[in-house]
Amino acid sequence: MSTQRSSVLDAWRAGMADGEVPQGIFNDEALFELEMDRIFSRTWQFVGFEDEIADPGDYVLRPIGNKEYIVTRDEDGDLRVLLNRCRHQGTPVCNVEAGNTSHFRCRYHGWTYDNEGELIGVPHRDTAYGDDLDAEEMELERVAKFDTYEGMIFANPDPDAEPLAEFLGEFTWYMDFFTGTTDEGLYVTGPTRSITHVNWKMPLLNVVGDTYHGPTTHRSGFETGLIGPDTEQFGDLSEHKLHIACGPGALELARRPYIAGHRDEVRDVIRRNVTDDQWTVMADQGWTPNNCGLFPNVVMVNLSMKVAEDEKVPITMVQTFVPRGPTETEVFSWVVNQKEAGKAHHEKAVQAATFTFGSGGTFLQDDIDIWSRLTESGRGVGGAGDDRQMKLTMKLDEDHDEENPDFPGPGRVYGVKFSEENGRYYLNMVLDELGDADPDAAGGADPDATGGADPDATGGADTDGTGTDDGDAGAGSATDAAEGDD
Amino acid sequence: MAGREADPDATGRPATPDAADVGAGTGRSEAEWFHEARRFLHREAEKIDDRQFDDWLAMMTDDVRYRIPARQTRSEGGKGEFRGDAHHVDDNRFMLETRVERLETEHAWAEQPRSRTRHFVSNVRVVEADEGEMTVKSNLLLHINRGDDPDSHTISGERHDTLRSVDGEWKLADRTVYLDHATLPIGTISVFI
Repeated sequence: MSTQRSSVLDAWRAGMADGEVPQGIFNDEALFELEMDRIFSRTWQFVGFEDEIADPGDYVLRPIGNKEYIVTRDEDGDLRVLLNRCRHQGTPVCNVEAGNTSHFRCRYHGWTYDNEGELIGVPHRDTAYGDDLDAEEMELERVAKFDTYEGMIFANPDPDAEPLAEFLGEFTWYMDFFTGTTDEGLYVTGPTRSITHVNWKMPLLNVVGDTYHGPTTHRSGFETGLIGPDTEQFGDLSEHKLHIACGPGALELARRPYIAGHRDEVRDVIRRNVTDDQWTVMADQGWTPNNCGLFPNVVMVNLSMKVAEDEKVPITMVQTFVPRGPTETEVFSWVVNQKEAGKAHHEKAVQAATFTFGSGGTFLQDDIDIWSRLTESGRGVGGAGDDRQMKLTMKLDEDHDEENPDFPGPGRVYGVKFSEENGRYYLNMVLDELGDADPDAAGGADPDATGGADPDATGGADTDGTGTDDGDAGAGSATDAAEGDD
Repeated sequence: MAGREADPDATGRPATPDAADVGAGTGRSEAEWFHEARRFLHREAEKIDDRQFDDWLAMMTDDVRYRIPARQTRSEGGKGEFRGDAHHVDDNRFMLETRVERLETEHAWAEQPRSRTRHFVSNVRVVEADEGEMTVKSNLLLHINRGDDPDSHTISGERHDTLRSVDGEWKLADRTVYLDHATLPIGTISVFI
């Protein structure tokens, strides 16, 4: 629980309505502590695909906030998400990233747990404890909540959290474009992992709708012919896109038919798995969600990339940007495909994805390089009068609620080529989760600024989560913060 | 798991044989094959470090495949950690050429300014050799420094290469770099490893 007040957070709250965001939100340590406390300990987070742990005993280790969890399939085939921490003294009971086992044995004193988390073995139990050990109380701690959506496993450490379906809400309408167009399930390749010197919010701020960075950041992609009008990658540059904000996510749709590049049989599978409205968007209207961000840290992309001079492949990637520190983020990256598309197609798509947005990707490397410089250049922001701000003011005063009667998808649908509105929507989500629990810590900042700035963002972004949590985690830190200040 | 084979030694390469068995029947000794392989690898590393990328590409076959598989720390350890089908890099010739072409633009930001690379290629072992093809294992230590950053990155791994003789010249036909890292210590790979 954070006890430090973040002046950066105060400045952020004060400036958000005007699109003025202190650059220090990307490296302020006090803010980072608050984020870990109020976001990563009580928000639904993607931890991996069911396919990664297909068989009983399969497990992977995955981070949720500051903690590490064993995501496993028990002997009955049920999913379990267990804190990787022996209940005796806290030693990790699992020390490799993946494998298959029926039990986890602590290497310190030998306590042994089955893969449902039950304590099934305590060496020298009678001599050591007699009757003074209640095995049932000493099970591996289970994450408070977990659930799946279309093969994606999500977990939430907050026992009071809303159900996953409620958290995702209508946003699933768009998630279906990435993981939901299959009968047989997904091929899953990954994850690859890499450490970046980037703040975790930056990739999301970009991916939810920063179409403006494409022509400059990815100019080499145009110059080498990997993208451009002829490849239909980002659509015609002069053409507008749809910037959509919907519940916990925001995304950008480009004028490129989702079904392009798929064989007829695969199109049939896609058609069977989507609604008439979704089919209208992906086939008749010819849209594809290029880049999509799900709060707090999931990135999904649907692109079409070259594997040869004259051959493009549709690719679908899912990435998480896991905070490891204010300026350190680990990227987990997966490539997925409908199984119906066939193994050969999947392998080609993996190769194309690896070449472009993978850990050695020709596009992602320029993004990461710029994001790490931006993270660095805001170091130490926060002192009084420090005016190092990001100006996220593009189309701030436009009406973003225009009518789009022809577009059948949910959420706020905003047709425009370039806009920073989705970025503001995302940052407002972060602010809301951090926000209203500690009025004292807000200090001189106008507590209404966030709410008043963008009713859509606040309303859509955060339905129940913050409200429910005010009573426990929030109130506690408010008190602490107040003591720290005064 | 999708794409994962049961074979714990996913590299599928034999261990380094006895010297007498290397290139047996070719009329050349193991020492001579070793010299050929080492010369190729040192020259190739020099092309990368000196940024002579067109010359470097000329040392590849048309059907070259250049892979850096992702490693996952697993209980069984060893090469089994490469059972997955995820890669940091999985390039064909088109992709390698595009990377080089990209570096020659002024807008490959991840390499503006350029990384200074130093490839240390050692422990060269010829596994199989005949006049047409050589299979070679080597160790790689790659030092990367960039800009005025006082800190450098070090990448370590084992390369498994297939060299093929094309019109009397050795060319790289296949390379797999088995990294000693599960989590890549550099954000993205913008240099040739």
